[in-house]
Order: sequence, then C-alpha cells, then structure tokens
Amino acid sequence: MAGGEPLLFSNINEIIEQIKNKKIDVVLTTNGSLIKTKIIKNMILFKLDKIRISLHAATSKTYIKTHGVDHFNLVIKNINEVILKRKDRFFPKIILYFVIQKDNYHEINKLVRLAIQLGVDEIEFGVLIDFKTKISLELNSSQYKKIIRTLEKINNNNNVVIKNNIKYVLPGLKEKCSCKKDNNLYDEKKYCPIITNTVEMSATGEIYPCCFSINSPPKVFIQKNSFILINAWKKYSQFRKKILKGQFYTFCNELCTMRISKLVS
Amino acid sequence: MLGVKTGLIKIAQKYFDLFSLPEILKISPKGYACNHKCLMCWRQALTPAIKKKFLESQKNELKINDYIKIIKHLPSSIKEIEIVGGWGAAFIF
Repeated sequence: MAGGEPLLFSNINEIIEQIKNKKIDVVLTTNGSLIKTKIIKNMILFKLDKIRISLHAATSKTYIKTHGVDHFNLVIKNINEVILKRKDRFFPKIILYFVIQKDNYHEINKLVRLAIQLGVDEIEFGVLIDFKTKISLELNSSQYKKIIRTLEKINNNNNVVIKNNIKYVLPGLKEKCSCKKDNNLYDEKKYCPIITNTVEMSATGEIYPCCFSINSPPKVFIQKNSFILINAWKKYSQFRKKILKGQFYTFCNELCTMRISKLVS
Repeated sequence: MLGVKTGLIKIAQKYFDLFSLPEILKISPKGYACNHKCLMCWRQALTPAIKKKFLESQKNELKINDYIKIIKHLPSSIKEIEIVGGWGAAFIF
C-alpha cells in the first residue's frame, strides 16, 4: 500500500547512494512524473536495481481520470528518457504498475502494447483495494470475468514477450468475482507472501510488520536505538506465527490483496 | 549435508518462524506527500481531521541524517530496500 511520492524527498539521491554503497538492492516505486535528468543520471551511476512506475492508464484521457492529473505524456517522456540513458545496461529495470479498476480495465491490452513499444522490462498488475473512497471503483462480477479472460489470453499468447505477474493476480481476481478456481493450479490454503521477509518503516520512523498492521501489533520506533529493526522483528514474531497458521487479522481479510491462494508449482 | 541443513532452516523459517530475519525493508521518505490524486489511493479516503494530523506529523519526519544512520546500522539480513510512498503517521484505520 503506497500512497505518497518518494521523489518529493529532496535527498533521495543520497539515500540511494548510501544503500548501494552497502551493496543492498534498491527498488524505487514512483508515479514517474518527477524523474528529472539528474535523478536518471544517478540511478544509472549507482546501479538502481528496479524502478516501478505507477501507470494506471494507457491513454492520456484515462490517466487524468485515474491519477487526477494530466501527467501521461510527461511520464511517458520520462520512461523514454530512462530507457534511452540506460542504453544497453540492465539497470534500472523498469516495471509498469497498473492497478485494475473500473476506469481502466478496458485498456489492459493497450497497456501491454504500450509497454512493449516503450521497451520496459515488466508489467505488474495490481488488484484494487477498496478503501471506501468517495467514488466507488469496485468492478462487478461480469467486469472481473472480462478482465480474467483478457489476462488469461495475454498470458497464453506466446507472441506477448513481456514479463508479467498475471498468474499471481489471477487467484485474487477470481476470488473477487467468485469464479470457480482451478484446484489443480491453486492451493486453497491462503498465505501471506509479505510477513515472512519484510518490515516497513514510516516516514516518521515507526516500524510495522506490514502496511495494514498499523495499530496491531503495537508499533516500534526506529530512533530509540540502532538495533531496533531486529528488536521489532522479534517483537512481531507472534504476529507472524498467527498468520503463518492461517489465522488472519480483520485487516488481512478486509483490506489486503496479498492474502492469496498459493500457486502450486 | 549443507543442503539438508539449509533445507531444514528454510522449513523452520517458513513454518515456525525460527531463525528468521527480515530481508526486505520498505521505507517511505516522503510519507503522505504526493503530487497526484489517484482515485484508488487510501489518501482519498482520509477525513479532514486525519489529513490535518498527517500534515502536523510532517515536522517529525526523518531527515537525511537519520536515514544515513539507519542504513549504516542495518542488519546484514537486509538484501533489498524498497523506496515507496507511504504514510506519515499512524491512526489511519
């Protein structure tokens, strides 16, 4: 669950540099509108690993609806510039992030074509989280069925040569439209892929086991001592154990789309 | 033998949460601030009172020196840092 723009932080280049100096991979999630030439130069210089750009539309008209601003051409220009500047280097890998919703589901095929045309490395589709915003963006069952058909078609099309996460979003989408799941493909037991390896830190320094667990379990602040990350991780042990046993919290069931059926390999 | 040991540790991590340490850290340096108004974003669901709380919390946001200190003291288990937009204070839900 991201909702701000990290490139508004004036020292973002310094953060990336410090992390890369420690030989840790960096993934930057951005709306792509603030990728300036200096930032691109530094991304390439410090070998930023991945840049995930939110692009919930394949046309300017839909972009204004989904993003609330007219930045479509600017974002496309910035993506083109990153691709041009990285030349034949592998870094940063560019991922387009597209949350499927009422206003953009008809542009899925167009987005795939746009991604191939731009030369990005991957598309990540996201399932809509219903935050009960003023305007409901939730799709109905027949719209979900249409989306599932479109995604399955893309997934089965050998001519579509772009990496994507379609097989991982299909269980969540099928759950949303109450379609019958393919039991040969998916384990009915739900699991969470986040809590076993991730911790999250807010802008004010609180640490959480996941972004929805803001009030449960109690938060830990980073500034108190330097070993706080490990301490927080240990403190959240009971929280993880509960979820690993399949006992999900209310916010897992009501908000989180990461609670998915396990894909049987 | 090493393979068996690694396998057992992985099973212990996965099912019993033993010996595990975090591998991914997500940070959100600018918290609530954004130059877009995405319709599906949780920011659109905030009440004016919570929005005010967010704005007030911005003065407590970590500065670059705090981040440098945090990065310096990261446990060696961290293999990836995701820089994302996020939230500036708790009490949203």
